[in-house]
Amino acid sequence: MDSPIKETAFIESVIEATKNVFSMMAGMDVENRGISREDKTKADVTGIIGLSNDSVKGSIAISFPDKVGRKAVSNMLSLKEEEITEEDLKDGIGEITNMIAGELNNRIGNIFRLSLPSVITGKDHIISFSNKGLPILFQFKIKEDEEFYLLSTFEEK
Amino acid sequence: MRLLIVDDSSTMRKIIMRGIRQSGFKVDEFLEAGNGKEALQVLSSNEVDMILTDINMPEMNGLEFLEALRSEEKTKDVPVVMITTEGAENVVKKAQELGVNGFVRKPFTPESLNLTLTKALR
Repeated sequence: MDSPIKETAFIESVIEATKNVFSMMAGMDVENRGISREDKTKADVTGIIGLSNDSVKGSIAISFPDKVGRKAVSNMLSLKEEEITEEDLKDGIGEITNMIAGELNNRIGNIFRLSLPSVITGKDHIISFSNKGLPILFQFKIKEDEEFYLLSTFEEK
Repeated sequence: MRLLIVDDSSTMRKIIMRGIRQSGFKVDEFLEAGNGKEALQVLSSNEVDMILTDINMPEMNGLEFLEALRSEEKTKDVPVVMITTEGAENVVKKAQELGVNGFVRKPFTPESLNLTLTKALR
């Protein structure tokens, strides 16, 4: 990551921001299962948000299997998973994405401006960023068969 | 207690209402609006005891909305709490200059909601 923030501090902040948002908003304990340099991820629902300042621009994508995304949103709304509408799912994943990016930004000193989040849905879609920055793919686990991924890349302007 | 929640995400409005109910903070009726402009329309025909507003919204953002509230006799003293992911110092300072009564940062807990809303009422 090309910025005044060290990559290790950035990684730690992403993990803590993600854990905090799931714990505080959805009552879910999330565990980080490691990171890699993979540059793409596959999912059913993905929230994407841009972070930029005068010298660096980047994106974060948070990708969920449908079941895991619905579970998180249903917990946030105190509804049953079958009661979650498509609008709830998209809106809820957008909010989770926005909150993780906001919490991350707070943790690293509010150095970025955040875009509005976008949400992509579609079974087994692939998310990949085309910028030149080094990707970091974070793997998170809720339960053994309930995982989701956060992909980030940043590059100099 | 009538409380107006202003946020462009209907899901976030539901989440905030759930959080307030869980927190034990007593609200008799929730009113909702999707941005500052819609909220001013709601307030033209309704009186409320408190307003919770997001900052980043289309049409009229939270700071513009707060400025409009403070310039109207009818709403200038209504407690306003901003509930947002925004942590930028200049935004916080601007909101304080305009007379905001408190901030709740997302993500939030029911306890932090209760504490901030209770303080804002004093």
